[in-house]
Formats: sequence, structure tokens, C-alpha cells
Amino acid sequence: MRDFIRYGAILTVICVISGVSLAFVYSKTSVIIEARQAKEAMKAMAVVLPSATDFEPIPAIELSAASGGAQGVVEAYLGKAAGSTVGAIVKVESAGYGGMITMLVGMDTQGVCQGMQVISQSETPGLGANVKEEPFYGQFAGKKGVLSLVKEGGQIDGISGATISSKGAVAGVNKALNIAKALLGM
Amino acid sequence: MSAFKEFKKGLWAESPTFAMLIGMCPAMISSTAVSNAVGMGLAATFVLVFSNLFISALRNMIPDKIRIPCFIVVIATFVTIVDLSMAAYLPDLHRILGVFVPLIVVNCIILARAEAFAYKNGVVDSIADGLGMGLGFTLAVIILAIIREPIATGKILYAKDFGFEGIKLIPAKFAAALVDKPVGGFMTLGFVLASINGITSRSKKAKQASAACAAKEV
Repeated sequence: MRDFIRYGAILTVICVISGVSLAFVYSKTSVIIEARQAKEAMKAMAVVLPSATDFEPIPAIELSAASGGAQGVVEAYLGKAAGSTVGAIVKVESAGYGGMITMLVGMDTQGVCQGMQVISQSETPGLGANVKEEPFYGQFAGKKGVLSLVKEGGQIDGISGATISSKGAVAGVNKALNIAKALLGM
Repeated sequence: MSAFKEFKKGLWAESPTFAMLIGMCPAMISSTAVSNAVGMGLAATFVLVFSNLFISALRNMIPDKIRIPCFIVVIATFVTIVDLSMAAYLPDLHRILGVFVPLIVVNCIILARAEAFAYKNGVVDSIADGLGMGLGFTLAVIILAIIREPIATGKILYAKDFGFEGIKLIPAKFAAALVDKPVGGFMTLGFVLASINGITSRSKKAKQASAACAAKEV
């Protein structure tokens, strides 16, 4: 019986020390980490919608109304320059081969895609993971309308050996463009 | 001197990956590319040295019956501290090692060394042991990666975040993506182990033969 109390006390002491030191480290680092993540997010948004200088988050209720119940819509922003709206950015998730591909898509007020960036993915390295490389994502800038892969008669060159990943990325961009149109009232 | 011996044994003779065959999961996942192998190896070495240091320093306070939960708390705390500090102060390295850092908790080399060595030995020896085992793990995953990376992708030393484009060894169309998967990893490990065992048993035989010869002459 005495052993139980002793063991419990020792474990408690170790866990308390561990908890306190983790809380200390977390309080020191979380500020830096959040500031950096915000900065990185800004940088990615500036890449997919170069004409905008300010990004205004769209409230979740408005976003879900615009997306019309579509799955995998993460967040959206209106891109502004000198006070007027120049486009919209939508962050979406789309099913790839190894899991969800999260991407950021920017569109201007003419309905032209301004750029696409893959934020996170878990596709096969060397194959599907190439969706995050420039030769693939670079194709989306300047495209308009509903996109599809070249072998389906579309305008996007898929990655050879990674049709599912390529299709997933294209589907994500189409979804994002539709939502962006709805947000911009087009 | 004994600390040096503890350091040296982990590098090859008792290599965690090639001799003890523990910590296979992180070895398979990080040996797909040389850059990943170096990163994961060094991160694991760092955690291993500090977990050995703390556990060996606390070994007289930790009762035998609850040692495992105590080890896990110490290791998990330490990995979380490393993860958070890396994310805050070394963001570039953290982006590359992202998934690997939390995975260090489940690297059984760390718990195995805590249980088999740090809990029974002094602080200096335990640090030497952690350093040796960690570098032994690093060396082993680099060897596996040197074989796997070119076969799977056609190039070696590809590390985009550091601006290395990689050196092309074989045309990409001959690359075998299978080697990138765990199956291919275990196959590579099998071939490497067979080669190592072949070489060591041959040199052992040669030594025995020469010893027998010398005995006859005498």
C-alpha cells in the first residue's frame, strides 16, 4: 500500500516537472511560431494573387453560403488593392492519392486563375508529390473556365505516373474557382 | 577511456540498425533520401543524448517498477521541447524534418538505450552511449539512403530546401519507385545485412585459418 502512494507521488512529481517545463517552452515559442506562420500564409497569398496588397478574411457563414455545401473548403480571403476588390483567394482540400492535398487558389475579378500553391500534401515522393513543384502548379496561372487534364481534352499537363494526384489537384482548383466566383458575385 | 568505448560500440559493432535491428520504422521512413537520413539521424542523436543524460541523472530516484512510464514522460517531454524550439528558432530545418521530429518519441532505440544503458550507468558513459548509438543510427540510415535514393528517383543528394538539385545517376524512366516504399527499404536492408555478414564471416574464417596454420607450424 505504501508503495502505491510512493510510486504515485514520484510519477506525479515527474509529470508536474515535465508539464511545467513544457508550458514554459510553449509560452516562449508559440508567439514566434504563430507570427511566422502568419507571415508565411501572407507570402503564399501574395503569390497566388499578385495584384492584391491586402487580404481580408471572409466570415465562415458567408463562405459556407458561397460554397453551397461543397466539402473541403478551408477558408477564403478577398484580395484588395487601394481599397477595391481585385480578386479572391480560396483554400481548399481535395482528395489525392495519399491523402488530402491542401491548396491555395487565387482568382481575379475577370474569373482568371492567378496562381495555385500546394500548402500541404502526402502524395508519393517522386511521383504525386510533384504537384507542389513549379512545372505543375505553374500551369494554372492565366487559365479560365473549368479545367481538366490534357488527356481528358483539357489544358493542364498531368504528372506521368500520378494521374490520381493530378486529377485531385485539378478538381481542387475547379472547386476553389467556383467558390471564388460565388464570392465575387460572378 | 571507458566512455570512448561506450561511444565506439554504437557506431558499428552494436549498431542499432545493422546489429540490433531496432528502430526499423524511422530507419525505413528516413532512408528514402540522403538529406532526410542526415536530418532524422542528427535529430534522433540529439534527443538520444539528452534523454540518456536525464534518465541516468535521475536513475536513483526512479523506482524499478515504474521506470518505463518515467522514461516515456522524460523522452516525450524532451522531444516536444525540441520540436517547439526548432519550430520557433530553426524554421527551415523544422520544415524539412517536420514529421520526423514527433516520430522520434516512438523510435525504440531511445527507449531501448534508456532501459538497457542509461538506467544502469553513470552520466558520462550514458552521454557517450547516446552519442555513439545516435551516430550509428545516422550512419546506417545514410548508407541505406545512398542505395535507395538513386534507385528510386534516379538522382542522389536531392534537397530542394537547401538548393541542391541532386546529381543524376540513372535516367528517371529506369527509376524503381518500389525501392522508395517500406518493402523496398526492407529489401535494401536485407541485401546490406547479407553483405555485411558475408564480409565479416569471411574475414573471421580467414583469421581462424591463419591461426590454425600458425598453431600447426608451432
